[in-house]
Amino acid sequence: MKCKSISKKLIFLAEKSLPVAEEIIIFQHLKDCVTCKEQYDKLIAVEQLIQEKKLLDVSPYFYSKLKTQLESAETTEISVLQPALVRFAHGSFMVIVVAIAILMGIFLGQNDYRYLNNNKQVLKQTDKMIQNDYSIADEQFATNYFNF
Amino acid sequence: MHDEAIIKRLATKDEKTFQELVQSFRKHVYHTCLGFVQDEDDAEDVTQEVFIEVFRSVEKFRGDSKLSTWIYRIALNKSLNYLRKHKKTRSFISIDQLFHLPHSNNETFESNEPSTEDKELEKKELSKVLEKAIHSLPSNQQIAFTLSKYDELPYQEIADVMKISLSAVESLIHRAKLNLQKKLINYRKDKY
Repeated sequence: MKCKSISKKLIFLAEKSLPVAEEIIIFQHLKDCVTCKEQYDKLIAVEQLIQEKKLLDVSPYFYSKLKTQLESAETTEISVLQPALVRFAHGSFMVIVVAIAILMGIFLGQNDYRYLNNNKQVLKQTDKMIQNDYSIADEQFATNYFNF
Repeated sequence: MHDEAIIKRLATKDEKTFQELVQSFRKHVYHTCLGFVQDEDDAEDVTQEVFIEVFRSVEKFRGDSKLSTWIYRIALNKSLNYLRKHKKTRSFISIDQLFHLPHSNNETFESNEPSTEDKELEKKELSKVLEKAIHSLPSNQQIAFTLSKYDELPYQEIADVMKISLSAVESLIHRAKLNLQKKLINYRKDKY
């Protein structure tokens, strides 16, 4: 077998998933070919690393840590919810206060407007009365002074 | 206990059932996460996230697939999310460590046998190279390879988790291995 076709099978050889007959042929080639042997050694090192990782397990306190995490996640949810509610209530309160202030402003403004209108009418009436008074007074003055 | 019974009990937040579930799936989930994340502590954190998600959303599980398939899917999603979140930092660390770790053969004087420390460094370096190679695979190949290699899931279960055909899984794993071999050998060639 040539190096090119051997090279394609090296990773499968490293993980021992090739048929025995094929393994024997490739091992025979590896005895004579330094390049392929080097590649094989590298892949064997990686394979060993993966096998070592497969022996690893979580820490013995995994479940107790998980339980604590679950409990703290629940409390976090509540504590996240509470300030949200407080913030919402605070916001709503501010909106209500501003709305009341605007309504009061409108109400007071309308009252002032009515008061001013009334005042204007009173002033107009007073003006008319004064004018009347003056015209009467003028007539009387003219009568008295010039003896019309 | 059948899946249905477990799900019913989990839905009532039965702690004993949850503990049993964690006990039986802990190692599998951890290996799946480790295959993606590659760091032991990070893998444990992601495993915790997986079980929290299982506990919280078991009511939403409709029973369309096996319970184990559903758990593996959660593990897969959590691991991929973790990788997405930590992509920038991780690649930085990885490159940093790849280029700053002293190489055993270059830095020891006239010693034929590498010391334990050197071996450890070599292993760490190899682990980083493997991590980099796995992460550079197309995502489908990465998922299929990791589930098969790290957790030894049967091809049919991988097909169920990934919602693809059995032949597609076989092809993905075969291509993933060839790609990995190419990347690992090429990297090591550049290195020496």
